[in-house]
Amino acid sequence: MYILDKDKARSLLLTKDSNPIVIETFLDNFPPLDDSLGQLVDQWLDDQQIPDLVIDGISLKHLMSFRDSNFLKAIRDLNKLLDPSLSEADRQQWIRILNTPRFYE
Amino acid sequence: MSRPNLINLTLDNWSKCSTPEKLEALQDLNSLYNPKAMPGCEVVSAVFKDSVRGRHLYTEYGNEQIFINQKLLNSAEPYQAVETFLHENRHSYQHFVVDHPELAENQQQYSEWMMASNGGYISPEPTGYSLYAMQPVEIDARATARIRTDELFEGIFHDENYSSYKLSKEIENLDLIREAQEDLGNNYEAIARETVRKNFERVNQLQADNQTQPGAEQAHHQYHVPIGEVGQMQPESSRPNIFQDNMKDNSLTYDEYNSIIASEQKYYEDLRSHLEQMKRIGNLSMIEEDESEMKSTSSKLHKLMSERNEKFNLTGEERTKKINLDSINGQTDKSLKSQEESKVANLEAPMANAGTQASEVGLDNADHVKSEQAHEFSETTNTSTRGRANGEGVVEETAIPIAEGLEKSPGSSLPPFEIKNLSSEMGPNVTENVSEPIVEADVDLHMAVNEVAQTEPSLDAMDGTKQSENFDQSGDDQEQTYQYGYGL
Repeated sequence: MYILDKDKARSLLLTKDSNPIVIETFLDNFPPLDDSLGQLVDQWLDDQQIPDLVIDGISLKHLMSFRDSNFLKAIRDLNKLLDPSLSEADRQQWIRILNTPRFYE
Repeated sequence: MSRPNLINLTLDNWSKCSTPEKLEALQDLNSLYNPKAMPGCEVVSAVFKDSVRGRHLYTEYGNEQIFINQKLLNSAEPYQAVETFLHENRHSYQHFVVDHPELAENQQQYSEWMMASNGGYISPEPTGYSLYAMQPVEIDARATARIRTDELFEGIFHDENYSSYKLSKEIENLDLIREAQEDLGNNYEAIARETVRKNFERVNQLQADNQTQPGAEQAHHQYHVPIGEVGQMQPESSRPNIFQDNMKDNSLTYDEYNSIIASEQKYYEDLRSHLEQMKRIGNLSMIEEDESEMKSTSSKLHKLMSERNEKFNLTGEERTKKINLDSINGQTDKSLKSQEESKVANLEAPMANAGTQASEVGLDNADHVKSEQAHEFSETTNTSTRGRANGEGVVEETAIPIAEGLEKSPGSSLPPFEIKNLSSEMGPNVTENVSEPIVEADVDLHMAVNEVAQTEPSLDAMDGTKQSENFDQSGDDQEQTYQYGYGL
């Protein structure tokens, strides 16, 4: 499993003027990722370029735009689809959620 | 209480109504659920991005507005517009309870709402949607709106078409929980609550750091009462009554206000620690006493902050314009309250209420001015709660006496009333060929100008509205500045 370099991620996220408390909670709960995503994340930590990644028909770039997510949030959402222990029903539910817009009230 | 327009919220009537008629129907819903003492909240249509359903905001003058996405108002079905309105209306009530602690269902609810109202609220961020969605005030607003929307369309209107909408909302809520569990684990509620608390403390710390006033620390030592391990808190009567002593004359400086507030905050924190100790040893009488004292201290703090914020802007400069103090000066609290009740009476007669809101702004200032500085309150909690929809003394007349209004047909002629279609700065104007009198307000919607908002990513792209970087609007009478609110 790939473990995110949280110190590096924190430094990077803090430059985006995000709320440090929210960032800390986000990183505290950031899971290990599938090894296949590790290189993409390391690359992003270095240059912040968004790679062309599509998993189960869901594009990383689309996910970031469609759901107002940053790179790390979107990639952990996609990482869920790579979980071999995920049942098919749960996979389909997760795909539906990722294809559902968010709302703010 | 007559609510003649409520019937326009039925599925059949909704699509026949104009936007102003729909807004007036929502306004009737406002008076249905709010306590009588609660000031009216103007309902306004707005052009938002699709993902933004609504917002609840305070203007610089303390009057409230609820914005509903015009697309929801244009929808053939009333359900989501109504539910969004009820959601925002609940946020309004949450703020009202912060100003009226006696209405809180319990201390925990009050603490959570107070913290959210004073800087702890978590705005949606690219990393933190679940934190935003699962913070106590949002959970409470969603749950309340869900229950009341069901009550209206199932229990009152007996709408057979409502079930499919209800199902979609249930799925939406389950999806929120599923994502929150993924993002934050099964203790997502507790984590969101804790994040609000940390955010609240962070904002207060930022303010304290910015103030750099030596008097504040001095005030701590002067007024803070040391607490023994399990001893009794010193009763207020034996503490220096800094509140009353300093409020005798109304000429405190900005630094003096801040010193007093800091001292009261410290006292509140001490009370909280003491309360926890008393809980550990099970001293019920002391628990009650501490909780009572905490409520009292909270109330004092809020009054102090409101008054300071009325008098000074964020940089400590005295406000010289805009607030219509003439309408307040010389009036006792009692007379103000009497006027508020009179205003509520006007709301109960919607037709007679037309055109009165503008003249009431000055009155609202007395109790409900919120400002960019209003984060400053120190209160924390570690306990868990889920918002309840129908608090005691909160929902009035749940058996809705709308029979008299059911005969009114939609589209009947209405007298002029204040409806603002936000235009210009909010994006492309929604053009509606309606003959109803619409006050075209050239409103520049400045969002949530507080220190936190300034350091957080702009949400302009998300909602199409404009954020102001100008904290001190006091020099421009033409602008309305929206100080804060929930929703984003």
